[in-house]
Amino acid sequence: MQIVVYNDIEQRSPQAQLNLDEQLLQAAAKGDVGPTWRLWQDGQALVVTRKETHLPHFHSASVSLHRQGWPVVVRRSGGSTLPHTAEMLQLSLILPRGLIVVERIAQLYAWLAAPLVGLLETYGIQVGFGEVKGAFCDGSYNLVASGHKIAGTAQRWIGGLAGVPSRQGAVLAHATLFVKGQMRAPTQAVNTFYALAGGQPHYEERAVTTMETMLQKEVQMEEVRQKLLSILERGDLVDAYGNL
Amino acid sequence: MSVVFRLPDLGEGMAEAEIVHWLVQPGERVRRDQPLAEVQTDKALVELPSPAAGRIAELAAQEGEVVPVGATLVTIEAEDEEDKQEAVQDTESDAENTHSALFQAPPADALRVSTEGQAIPANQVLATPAVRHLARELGVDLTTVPPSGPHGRITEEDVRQAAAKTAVSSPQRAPELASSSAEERIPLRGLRREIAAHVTQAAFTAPHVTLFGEAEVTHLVALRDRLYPRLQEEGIGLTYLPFVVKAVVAGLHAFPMLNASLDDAGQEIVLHPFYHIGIATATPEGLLVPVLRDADRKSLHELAKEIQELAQRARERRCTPEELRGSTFTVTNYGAFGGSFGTPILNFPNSAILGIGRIDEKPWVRDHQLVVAPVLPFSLSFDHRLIDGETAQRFLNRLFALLSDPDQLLLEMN
Repeated sequence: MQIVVYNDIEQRSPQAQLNLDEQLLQAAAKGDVGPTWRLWQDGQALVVTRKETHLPHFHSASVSLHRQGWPVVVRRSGGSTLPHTAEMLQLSLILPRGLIVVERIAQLYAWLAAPLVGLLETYGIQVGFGEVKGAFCDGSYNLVASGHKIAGTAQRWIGGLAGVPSRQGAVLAHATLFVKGQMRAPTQAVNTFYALAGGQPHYEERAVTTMETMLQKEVQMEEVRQKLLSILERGDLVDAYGNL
Repeated sequence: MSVVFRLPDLGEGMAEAEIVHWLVQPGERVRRDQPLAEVQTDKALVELPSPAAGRIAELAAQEGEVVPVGATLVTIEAEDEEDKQEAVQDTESDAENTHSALFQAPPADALRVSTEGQAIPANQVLATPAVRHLARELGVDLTTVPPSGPHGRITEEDVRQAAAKTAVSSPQRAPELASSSAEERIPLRGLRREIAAHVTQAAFTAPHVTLFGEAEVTHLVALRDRLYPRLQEEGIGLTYLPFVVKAVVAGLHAFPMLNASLDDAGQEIVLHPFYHIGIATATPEGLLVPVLRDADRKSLHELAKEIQELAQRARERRCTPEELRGSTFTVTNYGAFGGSFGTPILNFPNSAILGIGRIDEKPWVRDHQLVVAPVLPFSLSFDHRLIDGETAQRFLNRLFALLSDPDQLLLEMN
């Protein structure tokens, strides 16, 4: 199965980037778009889910965070609040279930993680799935390096149930890889948001890491992006996870 | 007719999901496949499409509520006759695939084919093959089970309840002990739940027998000690496991019934033409069994390298689904944790599993002399439906011979 690799270098706002993922997902459900990897970056933002929009002081918190340089945007996948910055790499996988049999949430996470695991291995960083206490947007399918979250993942399924192969639809899995810089400011922004919105701010900077922190040296964003791109275009890692 | 829509198993052994957002309201008309709600588990937001066209009679959970798999979410008054039929058909096919009862209509009294206490002829019992299989496993006579499914169909839950009533083995709630505030209850989910289901299936499907034995492995220890530094240069830690796998393959070649499985539905014994050896591996989340494929075609060097890599990936939960299925025989090494003997449960549908313990120095009689020698303990569990004790013991004897005298083992290698 051929998967289109969309190296999306167009500059858009964080909300516009998320909207594009949603549009691709809807198109895939209709059969207008085939299996697609999309590699992209955006600017600084706090990406919340629709659950956070129900917090009692969501709107005032959003205004306050916007003033502090962290516009709040809403995504439609699962999880909770995740910071985006220009020092992170975003990877989306969109699959129409009519063409590819996707039955399980874990299966989709495995496919999404495969190229990231391959990428990090080329830098000598070993990762696995797991929860990390104190990390923002925590879950069982974080990519974890030496006990620290180095990438967050989430999914959205439309038009068909997970766990039920007889109903089609489309799925979106996306990942945010923390490449450069420190995680203090992003973690503080998430805690500030929850404190103002009426949630529980309890995230810790030390629970999260970046490639640069792991390697103790500077990493060039473009180099990482090109390496990941070549892995995606080679396609063999995906094959190993399920013969797409 | 009402269609009851229950939370299906969306993930890998998930136990529950959160209702994030209702997309419909009571009284609203819905089309078939129209999204009813968004639920979340494992950070996946999943739309639940309607199984039928009709009117929403009731939403059974609130937004933000966490509901267990199988719990009723929505009741729909189905309007379209075709949808009613399809909803029932979906229940059957999806339950086969996911073990989830997705769309179960409450039994209409007129459709009931049995009432409690009244036996009916077996050929009139309505139950899916999976339910019949479960009934056979639990020793339940389906003709005595009151059905609760649509059209008087007997469900898995009906069978389990019947089994519990008659004190036949079935999963039961732990007996209430003196309650304590210090008591901790951990939801059975994820890998632990998968393991629980797998070993339960094995334990209640295949009658197990376990044989024990010991081999004196002085020469094997010497051989491994000689080879160890060579492989260490390549970053490979040579354990005894590759030698055991080689000996196992030779034994399976001689006794193919231990490299077989039983096709229960077809009532056929399947002799596998390849030697895919499962290696039980402890991980922080529980036991995984990555598979060494075509172990007969690999050198000791290749086996050592692959076992190391597979174990590492398993511990990091990075094994591909393909690497975790298809074993024809399994080896479990509890010796790594200091154990000697065990009664391993089969890695179903494998017909046998070999447990190996820790090599310890023990008194041993060699050539009428009492000596102190390294001894490797074995425990072999096998499916007595396929394998008799004699065959299993002869397989073990072959293993003892090969591992006691590794020169013989070298002769066996391709």
